[in-house]
Amino acid sequence: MAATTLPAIEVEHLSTSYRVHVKGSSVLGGFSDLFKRGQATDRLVPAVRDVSFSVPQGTVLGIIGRNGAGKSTLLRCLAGILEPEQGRIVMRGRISTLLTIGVGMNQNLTGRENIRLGGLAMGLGHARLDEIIDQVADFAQLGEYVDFPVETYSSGMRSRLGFAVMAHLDPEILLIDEALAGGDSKYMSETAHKMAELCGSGRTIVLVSHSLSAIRTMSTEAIWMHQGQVVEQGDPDHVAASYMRYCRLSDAELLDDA
Amino acid sequence: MSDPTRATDEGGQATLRPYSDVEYVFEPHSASLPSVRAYLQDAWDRRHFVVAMAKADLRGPRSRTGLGELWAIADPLFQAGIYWFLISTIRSNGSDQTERLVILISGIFLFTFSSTVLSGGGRSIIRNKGLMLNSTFPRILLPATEVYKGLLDLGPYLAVYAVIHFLLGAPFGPGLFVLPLLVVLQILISSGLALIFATLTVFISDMSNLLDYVMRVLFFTTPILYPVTELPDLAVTLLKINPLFTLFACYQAVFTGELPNAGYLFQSVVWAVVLCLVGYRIFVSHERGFALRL
Repeated sequence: MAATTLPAIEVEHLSTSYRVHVKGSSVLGGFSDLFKRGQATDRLVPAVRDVSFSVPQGTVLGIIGRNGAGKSTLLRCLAGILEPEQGRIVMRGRISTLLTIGVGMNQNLTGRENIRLGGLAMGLGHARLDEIIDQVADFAQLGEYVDFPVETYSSGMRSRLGFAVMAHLDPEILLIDEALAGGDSKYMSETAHKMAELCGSGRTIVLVSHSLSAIRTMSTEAIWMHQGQVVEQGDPDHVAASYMRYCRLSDAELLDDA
Repeated sequence: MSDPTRATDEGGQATLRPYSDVEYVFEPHSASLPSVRAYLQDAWDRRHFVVAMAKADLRGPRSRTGLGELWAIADPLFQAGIYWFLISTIRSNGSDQTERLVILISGIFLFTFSSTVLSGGGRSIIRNKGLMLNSTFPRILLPATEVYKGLLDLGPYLAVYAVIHFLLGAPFGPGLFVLPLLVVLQILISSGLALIFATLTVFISDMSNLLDYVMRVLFFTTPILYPVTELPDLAVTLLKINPLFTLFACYQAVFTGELPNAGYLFQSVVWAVVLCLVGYRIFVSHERGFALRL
């Protein structure tokens, strides 16, 4: 049973940056980027800098930090969407992601068709999708709207659909970015219930959230990121407390400066 | 950080099932390109995605028009009509009207396929930004969807053209046996170019606008409006820079009842192989960088 002891996620010295177009994009600049990968002419903004950690199976890892700390970028790297510039990521298990709500949806298609398209992109078969589509629609409480184009949906309906899809694809590793907000209070409590169910079933979950209470209740471990680096990791209560202390401190510093 | 506290309660969780042995390794692409076999296998496993995506794309715009699916056929026919009017106004030497008409109509039908694949495929990555930023899949599926969309129309094109060919009383020569090979070559050349354009469009934002001009230049440098036999040698030498030139020269021969020139055929094979390899290589070695630039 050596395989089960391997961590679900291993991140080694991960660094990645965003390329920002400082003064428009030039045709020549684009061409030169094409040939010397990694050394773009545009400005590089480091988003994640030399981050290493590993996540054992069944862990719920909460990631906290201020805006722009690199949390979402890290999650996109884990999902395989962004290319690491340096370092290496190993993910052991089927991944499902819930990143920016609704963005991955094709507005002209109905909810049902979007669920199918998303599932097919993940590599699921039609038969499996037939099984889960009705469950997804039920959980998202879309009713007859499931056969309406997504462009007619309210933002709450979109986030419900996004969460429902992710939760029902039966992944082993879940990557969730600030996706638990939205929806009315009845739905929120159902989401929390479903999250608790997902968390307790041996899945490995990485959760980015600004809600410290959510991190405290759900996660078994936490990471605090600041300016692309891991400041502290460990017990969620500890990490959250340090983060809170830092936030109060930096607010006080700001007040002093003023 | 390998947390010992989690390892101990691993056995204690009754609901914990052994994970599947799926493993993903994400590294800088400069460190390792995925093996061709694994990459294409991964893409093939998700072929249903291509079909669903193409269906969704096609149904939208066409279902809102009166002619619906017929537009796919009507559009090249209208174009052929316009160009025929122009050609016969400019040069009315009257010789071999049938042959010119055959070249024009077959050329426009077949070129429409390449044009769909190139302009759709070239924009496929930037058009599907949402999908690109939210899910992981072999990105080649997006240009592949455009190729598939083109193929859905290609069958009807060839069928309708066959009827026109018959009605015009054009010859059915032995060259027609080469036709399937030519179509395969065209699919390969167009797909290779689409992969190159798809990559360029992400890296050079002006490319999306340039694409329309590229298509127009390709159209006029491909022998559709004129028989290759009427071109001076110098023009032929220059126009061969266009990968579709020799191929369409072969089409002309086939549809006018002759056998294609062996040299032209060979060059088309070379173009198809080279463009597919180069296109694949360029696309796959840059695809992980796409999301950073969208």
